[in-house]
Parts: sequence; structure tokens; C-alpha cells
Amino acid sequence: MIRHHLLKGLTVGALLASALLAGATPSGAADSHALIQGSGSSWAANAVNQWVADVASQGIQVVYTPDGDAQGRQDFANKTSDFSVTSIGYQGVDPVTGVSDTSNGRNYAYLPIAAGGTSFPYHITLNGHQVRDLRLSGETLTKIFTNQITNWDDPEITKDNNGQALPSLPITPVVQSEGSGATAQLTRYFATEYPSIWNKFSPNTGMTEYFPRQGNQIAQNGSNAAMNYIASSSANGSIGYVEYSYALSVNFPVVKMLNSAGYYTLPTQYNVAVALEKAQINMDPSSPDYLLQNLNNVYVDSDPRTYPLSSYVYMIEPTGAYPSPETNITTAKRQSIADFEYYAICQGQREIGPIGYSPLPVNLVEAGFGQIAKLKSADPNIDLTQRSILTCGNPTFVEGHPSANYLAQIAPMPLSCDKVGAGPCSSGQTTTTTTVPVTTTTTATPETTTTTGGSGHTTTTTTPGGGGGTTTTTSPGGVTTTTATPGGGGGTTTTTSPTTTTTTLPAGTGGSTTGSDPSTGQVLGPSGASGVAESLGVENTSSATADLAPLAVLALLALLIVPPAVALRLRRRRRS
Amino acid sequence: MSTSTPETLEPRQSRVSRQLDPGFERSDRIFHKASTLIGLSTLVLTGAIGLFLGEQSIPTLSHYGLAFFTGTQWQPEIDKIGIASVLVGTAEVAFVAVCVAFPLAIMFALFISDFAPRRIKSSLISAIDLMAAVPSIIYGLWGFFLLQPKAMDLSRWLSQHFGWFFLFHVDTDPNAAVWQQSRYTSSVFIVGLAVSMMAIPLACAVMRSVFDLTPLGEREAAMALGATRWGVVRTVVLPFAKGGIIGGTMLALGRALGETAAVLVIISPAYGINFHVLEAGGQTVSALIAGNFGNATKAQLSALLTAGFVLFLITLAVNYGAAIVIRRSRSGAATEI
Repeated sequence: MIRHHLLKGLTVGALLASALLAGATPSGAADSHALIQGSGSSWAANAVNQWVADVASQGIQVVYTPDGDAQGRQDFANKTSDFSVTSIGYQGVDPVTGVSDTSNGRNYAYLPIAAGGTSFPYHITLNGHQVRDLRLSGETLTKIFTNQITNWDDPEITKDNNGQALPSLPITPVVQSEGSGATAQLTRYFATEYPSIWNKFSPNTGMTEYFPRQGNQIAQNGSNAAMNYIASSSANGSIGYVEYSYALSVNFPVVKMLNSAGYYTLPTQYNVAVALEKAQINMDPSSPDYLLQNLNNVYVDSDPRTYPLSSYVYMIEPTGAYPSPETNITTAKRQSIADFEYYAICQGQREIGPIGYSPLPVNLVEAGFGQIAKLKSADPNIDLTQRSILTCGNPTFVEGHPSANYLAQIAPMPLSCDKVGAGPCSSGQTTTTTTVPVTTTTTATPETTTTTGGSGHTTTTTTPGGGGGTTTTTSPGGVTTTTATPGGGGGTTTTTSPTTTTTTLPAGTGGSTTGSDPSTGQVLGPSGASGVAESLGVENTSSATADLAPLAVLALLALLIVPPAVALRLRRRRRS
Repeated sequence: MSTSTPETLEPRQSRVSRQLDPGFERSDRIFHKASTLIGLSTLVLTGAIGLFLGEQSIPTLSHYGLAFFTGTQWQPEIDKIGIASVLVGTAEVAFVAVCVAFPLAIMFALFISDFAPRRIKSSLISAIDLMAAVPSIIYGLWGFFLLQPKAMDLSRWLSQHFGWFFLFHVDTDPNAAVWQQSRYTSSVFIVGLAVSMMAIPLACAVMRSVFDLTPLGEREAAMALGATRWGVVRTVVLPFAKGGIIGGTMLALGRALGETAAVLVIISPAYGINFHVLEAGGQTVSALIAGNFGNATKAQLSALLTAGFVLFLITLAVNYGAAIVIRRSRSGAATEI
């Protein structure tokens, strides 16, 4: 029974995956590849690991260790990794302390691989109800992370939520203890936008990858650990910062952040794409920081669809020629790197929107092609044929309009209840429950059950069709759930209730993964086929877990009973 | 009985000059040499580790001097490094772990050796051994996900009732209507609980084997004098096994001092000497090294290894102390570890 389930799931998944990938597979033969290893950003790890899983079927083996940006750059400099992923570039030598952050002379180039929003997941549970519609301004967030605001009933937080006061509950900021890109993005925002508050808290650092933990703040090692800490039942009142995908994967609400246009927004792929149109990219190919970002204009973008804390993340690729100075990077390895990068910035971009990132715009993909070509100039033996921006498969492209960003064009305007002085809307997080099928498996974990189980009937529904209005349902538990209905035809009925552990995803409908976005009916993102593959995967894992749980108990019991029993029998036999 | 033997032996003796010290047989000689070599190699290995750490610590010690031992901050970015708070944290974790592990281990061991029915004895032993086989990261995750939410309430209860005692004080109001849960998480206390789970099987195995070695004659003698089972344990087993109990506890202490993965998962790294074990935040030497060595520069790595060197010396001192105690106790010979 179990085997049957697993086999079916595996074959279906493999077939779909190969069918999907067949079109995009570059011509490079599988035997010309070699295993490549990378390390770095945990901010980008969910996207990178998605691609790692995807390219495995093309015969490209990639091992990625998300041990933090700082360590990733260090690994690359020490030549212990073949590539690295980082949010910021090499920082050079610090004139004061002499701490050096360079590539140790190794030749490299930066390749933008994804965009995303640094989000603020929070854990506020009141009488068994989890607060899921918190809105905060950048200034309030800065004060929270600098220990100036220490209680959730602070008037500034109440003001951000249009007068709806939270109860008196101490705030516990959760920070990351390792050198991380999320910390760098966060502290850069604080230091740029609110220097007076930040410099009082941390006078020496400015932007830093190491959060200067003080006071009540809890530090955790890595994005996963920070997210786990916030999600654990012992962390009521905590707020942290991680890439949006980490919050999505455990179905946790994130703060709607105030942008310059006066709207509170979520770090959806649309809002991030719109915001990053204002990013100043270093377009000087001769600069060592070629393609790196300056986000000052993103922070203050006046488009109402902007999420202010959006940023790009980069892969550092080795561009030194083989055999020297790159003694380790063989032709096969470099071919793997090139093919992995090509997949990542093209077809791979389709996969990352629904899991909490945002695809790259055309201009950066084009520049990325140039960076991949540097691998060829380092080693002419690698094969880069059959790669064209036209067949790339990146979802931001509009056919015939190479300069437009499709995502930014179709990005929905925020709801009027998300404006300063209005609302607050309480539906925003519906997206998180319905867009990512994978999250539904985690609903079964004890933490989530305890937080949502109290009301019993907190059911959020996304209704299809409709005129873009909002429906308000009051559940028996007293929680008011407002639900936005998508305007277009791509909407699908998806009901998530805390009592059920599986989400019914209509198979075959194009919008099964993206169509239920509350404010758009647009269908793009992953194709219908991949949506089906994911939902099948979910069913299989849940049934497999259910079947395997008693097996695990049996195995443990057997481990405890069998060896002594055998010993007893042996002893008896020896005696007789 | 043997009156005729000298006569029969004498002629042989006269022919072959008898060797007074025959030495070893050839096979024995090879075995003797090989085992000496291997025995010495452990000394060489330990010495080499000590030498390596010592050599690495020279630049740090010459740069920071005595401040390295008295400073409480670990901020290599601004060139401020000191291990006082980290050493205190390590000692606190080990102290909590041993406080929890010692009574549990000794009672497990006594139950297995003296009270458990024969049938389940081997099951119990394999269960304890299974505890030792679980990787430490698993204990860390177990501590984080399962233990922490429960232990948090115990921490709060302790600070409510015994908060006047500085160890159990937490810098927040434990009686608040909405109490600040996170102040009670990621603490030295919870780390100590998780580490004690790893120390228990070690201590228990040593203690149990020593309890089993109690001479049967002495046990039976006590029984014959009318002692109860508990009387036998109190008057015969425990005094006999004193060395083993101390040795097992010291082994557990050594394990607790060096534990890394579980600490790294649970603790919220914080520097500064703080004796409030129930309060969030703390750091141990091994977790400091594990968390920071990856992105350390050369100077920072040297500082980390110096911290490791200090821990090495402390562990060495603990083990020597244990050996001295064991040698002085009655059962020392039987329980040399």
C-alpha cells in the first residue's frame, strides 16, 4: 500500500518534471557535468534548493549549504566551494579593524539570481487566536528592533493598525546570530532610512551582517532556526526577520509594511517586482561591483504597490581560467555551473514566485547571460549553445517587449483598506494559505494546531469570480475574517480550515497555485502541470506520514525488545 | 611427593644453562611492542592536539594579554575579545547538566543492577545504550521543539517561588498576567536539560558496571546479617562503587563541558557574565567555536582556538581530578577509567 503510493507519487512527479524540463534543457550532455558545491545565503536557500532539485533530473548535481552569506563568501575565497550565494558583495578590508572580506585573489563575477522581500514574521496569540493582520511602518519596525518599543500595546503600533490596539504583551525581537544577508538588508534599511534611531542603538556599525544583539533580543543561528523559534509555542510576542519564503513554508503571518505611498503591503512577488524597478543597478561592466544593487530608491518608492524591503540576491561564480588559477574548476564543473545558472535565471524563475520570491526582470536576465558568457571566456571548452533570451522561459517577459516587466505590469493595486487611516484589512494572509500547497502539510504540526485550533471554525474562503469586492465572515470564535475575491476568471475555490490537514487543489486548472491571489485573477507563475505535481506530492507525503508513523513506533519497539530477547534465547540455549 | 624429581632434572639443568628471565615469547614480544606503541600514540595524539591549540593561541594571547581571560565581550569586529562570560556559561551549562544527570543516572543504575527483574534488565540496558546512540543534534532539536515549551513553564514556576535566590532570578515579572514567555526560553537551564540527556547514559553505564562488580560475598554477608535490599545498597554497593560513581559523574561533566550541537540549536548567544540560569541568553566555548569558526578571519580563528585551548586545559584538569579521587577511594583499582 505504502509502496504503491510512494511509487505512484514518484513516477508521476518524475514524469511531470521531465516533461516540464524537456523544453528548457540545454544541449549539454549529461556526462559532461560534474558535481558542484556551493554555500552561502540562507535568505535565498529555498529558491536555490528548488533549482537544485529541478536540475538533478538533467544530470546536474549541485550541493548547496545555506550557512550564511558571510561564510559563503569566505568559503568561495578559500576555494572550498565552486560558487557562493550572497546578498551583498565582497566588502573589502575594513580600515579600522583590518578585518578583510575579499575573494583572496580568486576571480569572480556577480550574477543576480532572484529577488525577494525580507519579511517580518510575528507570533501574537490571544486566547487561542493568532493575530494575522498586523501592519507596521518602517519607523515602528526600527524602534522594535532597537528596543525602543517593547510592548505590543504601544501607541505607535496601535496607530499603524488604525486604532486597533493589541493587548499588553512584551515584544521579543528575534535576530540572526550568524553573518546573514537578511541582517544586512535589514540593518541597511534601518541605517539608511532611520539613522538617528539606528545609530543610537548601534553607533559603530551602520549596515552590518552581524546583528548587534542587545537586551531582550533572542538570537538564533540561521533563517530556519529564527523562523522555528518564532513559530514555536514558547515564543508568543516575538517578531523576527527572514526571507518571505520561510514564513510561507510554516504558514506564519508576516507584517504588512508601510510604503511611501501610504499603503501597507506584503512582500508578494508582484510588490517586490514593482519595488525593484527602482533599484539602481551598477551597470558598469568594468566595475568589480558590476550588477550589484543600491536600494535607496526602493525604500522610498512612491508606487503604492511597493514592498520597501525588497532586494536582489547574487551568485558568485568563478571566472578564473582553468587550469590555473582555478585548479579545481574543471570544464565539467564549469559546464554544470553554467547550466545551473541558466536554469536558475530562466525556467527556474517560474518556480520561485509562489514560494515567496520574485522573478528577475529582463534587463538583469540579459546581463546575467553576459555573466554566464564570462565562464565561456574563462574556459572555451564549455558549451553555451542553444541559449536565447527568447526561449528562456522567465515569467517576467512580454513577447515582443523586451524592456517591460510583465509582473510589474500586472501587479495589483493594494486594497483601499490597506491605506493609512483605513482598514485594517484582515484577509491579506489568505494568500499565504492558498498559494503554496506545500504549506498545508505543516498545518498538521502541533504548534499551528494549537494556535488556530482554539476557534475551531476560523475558515478562510476565497471565492471565485466576483467583482473584486470583499466578503466579511464572522466565525463563531469571534474572529472576523475578511476575504477578498479575485476580479478575474483565474480564481479557484480553495478552502483552508484548521481542522483539515489537506487542501483540495483542483487539478488541471491553470491558476491552482497563483489564481487565488486575493487581488488578481491573473494566471502566470507555474503552469497548471506543475501545480498538479505539487498537489499530488502533498497528498502523497501526508498519506505516507500517516502510514509510516505506526511503522516508526514499531521499529522503535523492536529495537528495544528484539536484542534482549535474542540475548535471552541465546543464554537459554547455551545453558541447555 | 616429589622426592625423585631433583634427580631426574639435574642432568638436564647441567646441559642447558637455565635462563632466569626467559623474557617474552616472540608472539608476546610483538604484541607487547604493538600495544605499547598504540598506548603511547594516544598520549602523542592528545599532546599533539594540546600543542596545536597552544601554538594557535600564541598570537591571541600576546595581542590581548590578560584581558582575554577577563573580558566578557566577544566582538572581533571592534577588536574586543574576552572569554570570561563564555567560560562562566560553559560552567553553568555543565553544572545544570550534572545536577540533573547525576541523580537520574545513579538511580537508573541502581534500579538496573539491584532492583529490576531479571527479565527486563537487558531491555533496560539496551534502552539506556540507545540514549547514548542518539546523535546530539537530535537532542538539540528535541530540546528546542518539545522540551523548551514545557520547560519554560517550569522555569517560570521556579522563578516565581525561588526568584529571591540569584540563580533562579529572571529579569521580568513572573507573575504578570501576560508573562514574557521568551525570557524563559533559550536559557542555560534548558540547554543544561538537553545536555543532561546525553550525559545520563555515559554516567549510567559506568555506574552500572561498577555496581555489578560489587563482590557477591559482601552482598550475601550483608543479607545474612539481616540487611534489607536498600540496606545492602547503602552499606555495601554504594561505598564499594564510590570511585565508579565519581568517575561516571566526571565523564558526564566532561561530556557536558564539550557538548556543541545541542547548545548551538537552543541557546540564544549572549555575552556578559550572567548567573541567572533560567533567563534567555548565554554561550559556551564549544558553541562559540562552532557558530563562528566558519566566517572567522585568521585572527578570529586564533582567538576561537585559544578559547578551545582553555576548554581543553579545563577538561584535562577535571579528568585528572577525577583520577585522583578515584585512586584514593576503595574501589579505585576496579574502576580505573
